[in-house]
Amino acid sequence: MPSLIRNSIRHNWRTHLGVVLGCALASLVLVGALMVGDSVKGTLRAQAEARVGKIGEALLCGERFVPWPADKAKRPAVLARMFFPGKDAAGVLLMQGSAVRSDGKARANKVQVVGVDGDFWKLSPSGSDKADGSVALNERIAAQLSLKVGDELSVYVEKPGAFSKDAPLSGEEAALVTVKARVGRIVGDEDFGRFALTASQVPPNTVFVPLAELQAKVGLGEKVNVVLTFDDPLIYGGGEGGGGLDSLLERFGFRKVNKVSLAGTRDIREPDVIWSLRLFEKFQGVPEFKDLNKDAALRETLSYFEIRLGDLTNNLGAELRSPRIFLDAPIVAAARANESTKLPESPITAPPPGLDSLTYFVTAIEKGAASDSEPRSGGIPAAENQTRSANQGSAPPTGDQALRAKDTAAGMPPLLGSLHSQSTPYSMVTAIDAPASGFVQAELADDEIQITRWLADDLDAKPGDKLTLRYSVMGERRELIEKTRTFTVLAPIIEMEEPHLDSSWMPDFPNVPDKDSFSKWKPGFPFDSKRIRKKDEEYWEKHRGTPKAFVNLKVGQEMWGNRWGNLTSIRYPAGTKREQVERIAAFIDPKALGFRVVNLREQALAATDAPVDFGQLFASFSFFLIAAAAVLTGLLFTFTIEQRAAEAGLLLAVGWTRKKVRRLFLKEGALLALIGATVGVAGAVLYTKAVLAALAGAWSGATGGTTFLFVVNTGTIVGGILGSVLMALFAMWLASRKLFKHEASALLSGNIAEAAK
Amino acid sequence: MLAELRNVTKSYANGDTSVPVLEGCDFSIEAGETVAIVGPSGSGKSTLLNLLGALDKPESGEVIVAGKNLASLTAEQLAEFRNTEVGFIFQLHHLLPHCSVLENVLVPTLARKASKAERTAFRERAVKLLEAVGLSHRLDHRPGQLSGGERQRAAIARALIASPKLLLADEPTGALDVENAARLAELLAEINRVENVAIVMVTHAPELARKMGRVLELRGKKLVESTGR
Ligand SMILES: Nc1ncnc2c1ncn2[C@@H]1O[C@H](COP(=O)(O)OP(=O)(O)O)[C@@H](O)[C@H]1O
Ligand SMILES: [Mg+2]
Repeated sequence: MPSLIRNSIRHNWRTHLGVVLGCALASLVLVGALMVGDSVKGTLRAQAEARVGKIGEALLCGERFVPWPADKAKRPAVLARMFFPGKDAAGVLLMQGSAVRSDGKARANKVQVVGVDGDFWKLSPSGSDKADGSVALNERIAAQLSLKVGDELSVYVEKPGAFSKDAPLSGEEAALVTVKARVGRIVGDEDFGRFALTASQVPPNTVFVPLAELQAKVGLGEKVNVVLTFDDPLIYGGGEGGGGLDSLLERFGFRKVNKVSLAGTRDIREPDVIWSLRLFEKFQGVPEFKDLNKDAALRETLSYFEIRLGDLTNNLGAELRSPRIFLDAPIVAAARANESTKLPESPITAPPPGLDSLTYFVTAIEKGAASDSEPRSGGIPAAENQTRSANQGSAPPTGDQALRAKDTAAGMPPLLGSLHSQSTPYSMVTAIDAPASGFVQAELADDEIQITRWLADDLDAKPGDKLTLRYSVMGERRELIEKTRTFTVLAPIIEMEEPHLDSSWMPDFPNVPDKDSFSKWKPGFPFDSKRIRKKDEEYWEKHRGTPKAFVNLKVGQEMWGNRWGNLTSIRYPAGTKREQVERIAAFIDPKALGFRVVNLREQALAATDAPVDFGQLFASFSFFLIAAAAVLTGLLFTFTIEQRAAEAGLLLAVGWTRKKVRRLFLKEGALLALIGATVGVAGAVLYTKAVLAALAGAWSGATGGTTFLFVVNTGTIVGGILGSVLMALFAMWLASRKLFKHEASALLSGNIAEAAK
Repeated sequence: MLAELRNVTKSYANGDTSVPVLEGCDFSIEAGETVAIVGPSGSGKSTLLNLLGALDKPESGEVIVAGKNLASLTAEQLAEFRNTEVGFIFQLHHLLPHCSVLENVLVPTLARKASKAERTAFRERAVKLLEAVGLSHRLDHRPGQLSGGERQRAAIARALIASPKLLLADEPTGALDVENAARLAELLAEINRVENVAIVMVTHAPELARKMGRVLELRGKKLVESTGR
């Protein structure tokens, strides 16, 4: 029978051509679609691999920084209380900036400026350490600025501060730091030319600067904001270099944490507090961590979380504050948890409840009720009024203009020669949990204010008088809004000798002026130095930022609370041990503060699979084409076997069963389909190349320079051929069913147009 | 009795109406006997032969060949019956154009399961049969390379490959010239003698019919003794 089929195909090839071409078409479309999918996927995968190189996990610090000493021995074994970098990890300072050619003729604005060292280059796809102390550019920015090795350029980055630049009272705009450099190398894909933490069609413009140089330029010291580890199960799983949270947990007898559940952010599911405290204690029993000082580690952690622990003067206890001015909500939550959580197994006890306060900078304290704007109706307190000044964008009106305009509008010309003034400029006012404070009247009501002797003298204010606070807050679109609120003075006046009354209430504002240069302050709010009187300078010299008035915490938070926080200090009474306050470190959720641990590699590779398989998508787009080709194949096949009906009749007449005859014909058809499908694969290669060229053209129009890999996957080809052969065979089987219902005599005589019985 | 038709009726659908071709038709043939069937074109001669060879089924009546009532056989049994009990020769040779003469003769044997030795035996028989019909020099030729008479002789060899008891020949000389027709009839008569095969032959040619032992005529949808002698 094989020879029968072979002979038949050889003899009938002209008739068969249709079947072969039909199936070739089906396979061309099917294999082509799958091949395009493979190629797109392969290209995306290659791009992802080039982007993350040999990186496994990464600690991303958000807007914060962690210590990363050049001396490897001094590097923390655990970072942000959740990340174990291991000895081969690379610390990276990742910043946004811009770059300009030294002749100023070309500029790139969105530039990724990366401070790196040899450890970073070892994570690159090629894995070779290229750190030679020179500045490297990736090919994209080199092309954009047409820079060659040896050319010069200037890189600008913003000097990072501890606080968010958007927060009120954060001071003048951050300074730009310039790094002048000579291009030492231009790196391709193999050497991290595509390095990026997030996926994008095109690599970012990247300038690689030696880490120490960038750290020095931006004034950060030995700190980084990204830590990258090797994707190496030996390092990660074995715990050999100290890495491997899972193995550590296991060694400590903790519930095994499922790796899958940790994908993405590494959650610590044990009750976090106990876990942290015990972990630090247990570290000391582990050789890798034997040098780790638990107290130092906790204290160090506090510094990443940007909490400052201060001892108060007059032996009044200890205080939690932040260089970010406001205490972030997760920190306040952690403080509350620290105060309320007893841990019998820990030798350190919970601290007593803290005293909350919020100290804010007010533009003026005025005598009398607010009179310059109409009270607002609605749910907002009637005493609170606001005026908006568009301090947004490039050209904010200067503060003094705004203030002068208001002063005249309010009808308050400076009272020359008067002993008492009507308005005290630029002061600190503290909103405080009055009952807990120990010196502010516990019954201080929402509309009452307690003032200091100095302010009372300045404004000639007595208990029962009305005072108005004038202050600025940040609006939703970063615009400054000036508001006022009126209070009634509550007795008694706080004497300047009160031990609690000192400048420690003032938060750690940046650029706070010296004792004798109050008028030079640039607080980031409208500040008119002409309004500063001699006595204000004397106050600053003597009392610095000592608050001049106190209001109820609730009211203060209403007025001044914002998305960066609504407390500037939490104080613990005398007798509280420092370590009791430091215990807060165990309660802070690093994720809530913006720290993230991500498996960059898994993320990058997962992204190449998602959201849909391009090949399947393409194949389903082409489905009708494929189906049409299959139907065509079936019809052409019927046509050929109808022409050979007599042959079928003869075979039946000489004693072949119907099944056998039909199988012979279908086998012949399958062979034809196989030939066709194979021919179709050759077509699919051309088709795929054409589609990829078209795609590259379309994408390059939008983004520039995506070259596609042509990926040939044997599985795809075999699957595609099998798929189209099966489809064609099914179509042939369907189409030939009718023919074989005829009697042998009818087939022989060609009377098959008659209805079958 | 080798084969028998008893009161057979067969009709074909022609549009909506059913046109009878055979009605109450009887026929019988003994083993080794030769019968010629004559009659005008369209009278149902081929239909009768197809019924005897199980290429078609009657509406009513019985077809009994070699002791088997064909109506009682399954599809597989019918195939086997066609394969072993009867040999067919058609007016058109119906040789597979893409196979050699020898392969064509062997086509019926492909329907069976057979050992290698049996295949060799088939092959030997095929060669011998082709020798007998005078085609020993044409074994590897394609049908397209043969003359009309040679093709028909190859078809005879194919009909005999399974050593059937009954040979059904439907106008085997219809497409041949007189000389070749005579030679073919001679060959059939000789085969009848040598192989002792019963033959039912449909023909228009009286001189061929005369070479058969008995001549029947299809008239009025029935078989009757021929009067045309
Ligand atoms: N498969 C068929 N379908 C319909 N009509 C048929 C079929 N086979 C034969 N006939 C008709 O039956 C009649 C007898 O045909 P046939 O037996 O071939 O006659 P003969 O062989 O005597 O010329 C003819 O009229 C023919 O048209
Ligand atoms: Mg006929």
